[in-house]
Amino acid sequence: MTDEELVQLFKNGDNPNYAFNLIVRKYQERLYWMINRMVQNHDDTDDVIQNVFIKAWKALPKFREDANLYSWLYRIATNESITFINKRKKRGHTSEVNEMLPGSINANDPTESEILEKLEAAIATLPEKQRLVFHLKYYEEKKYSEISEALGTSVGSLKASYHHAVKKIEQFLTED
Amino acid sequence: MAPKEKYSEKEELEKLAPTLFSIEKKHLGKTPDGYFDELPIRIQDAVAENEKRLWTRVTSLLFNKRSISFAIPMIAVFFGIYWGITQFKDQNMTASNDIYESDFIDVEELTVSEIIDELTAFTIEEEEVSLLDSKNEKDLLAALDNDIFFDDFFEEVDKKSPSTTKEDVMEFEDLENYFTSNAFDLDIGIELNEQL
Repeated sequence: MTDEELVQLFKNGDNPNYAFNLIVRKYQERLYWMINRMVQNHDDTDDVIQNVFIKAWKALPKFREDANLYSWLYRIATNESITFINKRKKRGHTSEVNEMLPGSINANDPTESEILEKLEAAIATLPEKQRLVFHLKYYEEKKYSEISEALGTSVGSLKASYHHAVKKIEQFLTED
Repeated sequence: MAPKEKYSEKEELEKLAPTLFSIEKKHLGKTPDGYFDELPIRIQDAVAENEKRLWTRVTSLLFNKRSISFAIPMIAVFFGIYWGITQFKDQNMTASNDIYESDFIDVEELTVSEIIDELTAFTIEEEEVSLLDSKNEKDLLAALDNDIFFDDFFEEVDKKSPSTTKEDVMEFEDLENYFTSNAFDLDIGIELNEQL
């Protein structure tokens, strides 16, 4: 189903719960990894993603059908992630970076895990918005125009932000 | 065009960050088994719980002793203001109705020629505009003589000239603007406005 059809089904159908369930299943993974990139912790990601979908449920009846559902959800997720990080900072909690779950990396090639850990550490040094732009461009391979719509930032700013993030990560990876 | 664009972005990344470029894209963390199968159900439960909590909060606020003791005087003040406003409005309505009634024209008291004068003498600023052409005027006189109601007469006029020229439309628009901007109170004027 297209996003337009899903929204129509939610607004006009007899069972909005069913339509909303479909929306959750369509976007949960992408949103999860994006939020995880920001908050860097599974438990916190789980909390944030639930808040994101609760807010989406409340706001969906007023969703303008000419807008892009994916961009709208990403915007909610971005705002919730940043809010969560700021609250965590105020409480003085440090972020616990994702622990490697057993079997998630090829045990026969330990260097791969080292490289990935180093990459994650490099990404963690980026400021939140740069981290988000990097995730959307590098991991999700979104076009600049799509990211611009999702974040409400100009394409030029996004290009500069991504370029800067890539250079910093490269520098971190090549340091001894 | 799209593939070429992708290729150039990849090239750019390779040039700018060769180490990053060489790393396979993988998420470091892994979700617990079945996480994404269960998440939609947990979200639906969270939504239902959130709505229940909101409802509980609203009802407890409404039926709280402190809220009730605060609400009663506020309700009394609200009704006092509402009563005052309605009283004021009623007085004004009576006054305006009087004005309206005084301008109402009782057609039965007028002669035919006086009625024709009323129908034909409308002014837009300083211009006098006749709504009836000479033929219609003649027909109106005949209709009045035969005791035909105005509504029926104008319905017949409309039937005979169903199409309007652009000039007619423009004239009607001018008249419509006039009627709506000048609070036209005369009963006959309002009737003719409806015809337009």
